[in-house]
Amino acid sequence: MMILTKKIASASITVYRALLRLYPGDFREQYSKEMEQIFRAQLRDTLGMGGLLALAGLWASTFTDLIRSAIGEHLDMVIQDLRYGLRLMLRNPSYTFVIVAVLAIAIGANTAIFSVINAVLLRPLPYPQPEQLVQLWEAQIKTGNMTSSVSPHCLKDWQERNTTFEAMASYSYKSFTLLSGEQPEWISGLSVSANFFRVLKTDMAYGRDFLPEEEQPGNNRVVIISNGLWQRRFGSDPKIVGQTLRMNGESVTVIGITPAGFQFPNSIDLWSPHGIDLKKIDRGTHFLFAIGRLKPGVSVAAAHAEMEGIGKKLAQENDDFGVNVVSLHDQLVSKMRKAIIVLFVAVCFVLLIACANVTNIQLSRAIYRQKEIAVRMALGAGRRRIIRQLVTEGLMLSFISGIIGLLLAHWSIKLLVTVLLELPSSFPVAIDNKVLAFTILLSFITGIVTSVLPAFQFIGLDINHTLKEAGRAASASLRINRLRSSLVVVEVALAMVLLIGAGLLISSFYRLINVDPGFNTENLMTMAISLPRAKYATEQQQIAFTQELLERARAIEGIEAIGAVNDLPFSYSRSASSLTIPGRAQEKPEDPNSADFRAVSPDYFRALGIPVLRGRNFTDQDNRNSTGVVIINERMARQFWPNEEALGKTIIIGSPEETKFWGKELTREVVAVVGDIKHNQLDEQPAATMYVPLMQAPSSRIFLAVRARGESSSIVGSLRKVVASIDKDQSLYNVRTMAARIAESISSRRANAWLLGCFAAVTLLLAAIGIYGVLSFSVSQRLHEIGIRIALGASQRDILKMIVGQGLLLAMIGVGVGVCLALALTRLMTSMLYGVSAVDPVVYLLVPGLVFVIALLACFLPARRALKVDPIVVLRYE
Amino acid sequence: MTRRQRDADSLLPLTPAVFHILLSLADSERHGYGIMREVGERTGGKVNLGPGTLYRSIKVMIDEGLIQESDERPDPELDDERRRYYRLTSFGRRVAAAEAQRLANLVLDARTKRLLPDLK
Repeated sequence: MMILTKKIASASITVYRALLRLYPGDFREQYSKEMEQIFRAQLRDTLGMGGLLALAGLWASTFTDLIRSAIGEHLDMVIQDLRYGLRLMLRNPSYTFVIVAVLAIAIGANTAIFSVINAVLLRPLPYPQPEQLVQLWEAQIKTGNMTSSVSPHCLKDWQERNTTFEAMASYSYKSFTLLSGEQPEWISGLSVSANFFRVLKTDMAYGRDFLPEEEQPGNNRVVIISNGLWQRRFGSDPKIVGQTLRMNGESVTVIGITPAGFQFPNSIDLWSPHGIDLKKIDRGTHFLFAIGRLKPGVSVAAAHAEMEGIGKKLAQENDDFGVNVVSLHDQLVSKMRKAIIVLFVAVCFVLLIACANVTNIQLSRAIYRQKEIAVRMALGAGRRRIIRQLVTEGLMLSFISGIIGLLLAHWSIKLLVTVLLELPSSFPVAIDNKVLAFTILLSFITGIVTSVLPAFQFIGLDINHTLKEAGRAASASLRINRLRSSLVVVEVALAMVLLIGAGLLISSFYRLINVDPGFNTENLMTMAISLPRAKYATEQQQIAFTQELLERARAIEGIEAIGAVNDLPFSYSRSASSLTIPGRAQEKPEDPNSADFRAVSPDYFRALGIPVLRGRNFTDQDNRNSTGVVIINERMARQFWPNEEALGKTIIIGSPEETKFWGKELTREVVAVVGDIKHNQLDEQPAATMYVPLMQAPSSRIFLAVRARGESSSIVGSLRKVVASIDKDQSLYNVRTMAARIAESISSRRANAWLLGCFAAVTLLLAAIGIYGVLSFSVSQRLHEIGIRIALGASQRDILKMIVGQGLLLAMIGVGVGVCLALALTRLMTSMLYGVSAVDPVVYLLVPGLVFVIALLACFLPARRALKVDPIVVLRYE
Repeated sequence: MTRRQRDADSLLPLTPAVFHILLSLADSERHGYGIMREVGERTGGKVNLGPGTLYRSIKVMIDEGLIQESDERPDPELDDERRRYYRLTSFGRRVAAAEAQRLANLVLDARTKRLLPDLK
């Protein structure tokens, strides 16, 4: 029993000794011996009187007391350090301001970009069980087009044959003209399957969802409106549910209002059921988008594999395309992912450079504080205590910077999201808990990184020597100077990478905006009009409206030419059709010939400025009663008649509209060849395109292209009056200049180039400040040496060479390292570049030149100071 | 009020731990364990200072000039181990007195309001 008691006592003392390590080092050094003495005495008394039970009681009270007092002691030290640090900050406002400003901008930029990453890449889609949602496409494997729109017949077969989906839904974009009040209003909408909202598991805020029978043609005169439209247009009155609206020339009933914040896919205000009659639609008509909800536990890969198999069977049975299944989240973010990640890497670089800069400032500060620290150490402060205090000061600065950075990010997010990045509204970006945690963590890491290196300079501080250097300027060791120079080299290298990346993007963007789209964009106004099927059911009615509109519009003063087309360039609208060439067998029956399909009015080419290279333009006589004619572009002529003249050749266009309109397959003669144009993107290769007269292939939705004589804004009002005079229930919408459409198509590239350019400019400025800081400090350290050199006959040129040479050497090493890093990293940006390679020699020559010039400027002030050194003053001071 | 008196009042009110330590050292210098035992005995076990609380308070009291280290010597009542002794400074004595007066005034107020019985 005695032996057991002794063992327990010994173990208790060992444990207590280990627990004493919870106290700060200084406190432990001072009092741990006495505390252990007390514990041993208490142990002796307790075991002697109460045995093991009393020992448990002693441990309970001792443990509680230890934890509470250790935490209290640590907190006291932190508060003491914070008070001291605050006093120092207020005593040195300029140094504090520079550090806080630099870190706040860097942390703010990181926070802003991380909030975008959080919203787009990390956060799930804002629908219930979003991991079950997928997008389905038809896949044209031979051409590599894996995102082809879906045929209603194919979708029906997919729904019937799959086992991995809970449900599939479909949608297509549709324009609505709301007739309420004086002016008709255009509203963006979707035509959807009845189960659309059920697949997204979204309940209505008011009213109800669509019923299955409402998808049938004739039963589909019901609509669901968005919460935003309900607030904007109907004053948030719930009584709108059940009311009738005049939409596209017919009466529809509002049955539901979506919940606030619901968006799919982007900025849609109205949903109505499809009303598709499969008997009247050809299997080869592809115009739907399809989404699906997987059964619980089924992976996207498993669903993809099953649908691939179903697609293959259908291809054998019906000559269909294959099937492609992707997660809905990936589908929505895939285009943005790379650009956002590049921006995040860029702001990380900015932060690294800011940290290097601040570390440099803290290092030089540490040198000037050597005496203060030596005095404190002489008075009993341990080295650990000093380091802890310096790190606390660093953390204080970084957390103040973090708070300011958070505010900067909050204010800049709106600009970033809506103007620069143009993110879809289904990704709401905001400062949430995750972003807040990121900022706190970043502030913490930044504080540690920028204060540890300077703090550790005091580990080897010789207190006696430092205190004896009374009245002399503090001196830096060779080690510290080398460290500072190394940090500057790192700054310059990182700045080089960003500058080269930005240079490549800017160069690419500049090439892009100078690409000739193939037509004249000056003074070209565009707009659209959708004729409702209820009122314009027949092609004759559509033709009559279009003809009257064009005739009246030609009479408007200021209009040089006006053309109409089914799919305007840069309007996110594109049609294609298969075609056959009489007398020529299909090379690949499974992959029929196809080309872009446009139906145009006679003046279209003149309005857009597309050159007619050979042959004749369409005329008003090319109508239903004349022979079939077609105009093709140069690309199509080269593709199908590479070694002969295309004029006079014939083709048969295989679209259902053609067959429906003519009642048979129509042979069309090529009457002209026109120039190639870009249709959706400036960096695309022009596609083979065939143009038919609008009077021979009418469309209920047409775009107007209006060439104005001079300024074009007044023409729109006149055109609206013309439309109203023909039919007061119709209106023009989507009114924009062609220049604005093209600008929108390249807006994301512009934003990336602009943002990266800004970050690169900031890093260059920081690197320049870094060079200036090192040189300035070096001059102050070498005043004595400079004075002696001048006294011994060194010329101003020699001194200049010495100082500027030091600065340029740092810049040169940084440039060299930066170029190597850039060569490795910019390859990852290749897909973001146009007309520029990732190793473009012009950029790789210009950027180092710029950095050298900036480095030279940064050397200017320190060099000037060195030149002003009076050797007599300096030597007398020593 | 003298400058000396003003300085003593500037530290009031004292925490219970600090006041008990001052009381403990009022009549003689003691080591840490001695202070703990004296406080425990005087309060009948109602106030038990743990080592952590004790030495945190001692650290603060030394910084404030209320007590000072005396010397290191063994306690004949315990064992041969050398223990550090502490004693009150004159300033500490004044502060202890000021706190005691403050508490006495409070007790008087309590008696006036019949929360405590009058002294006979």
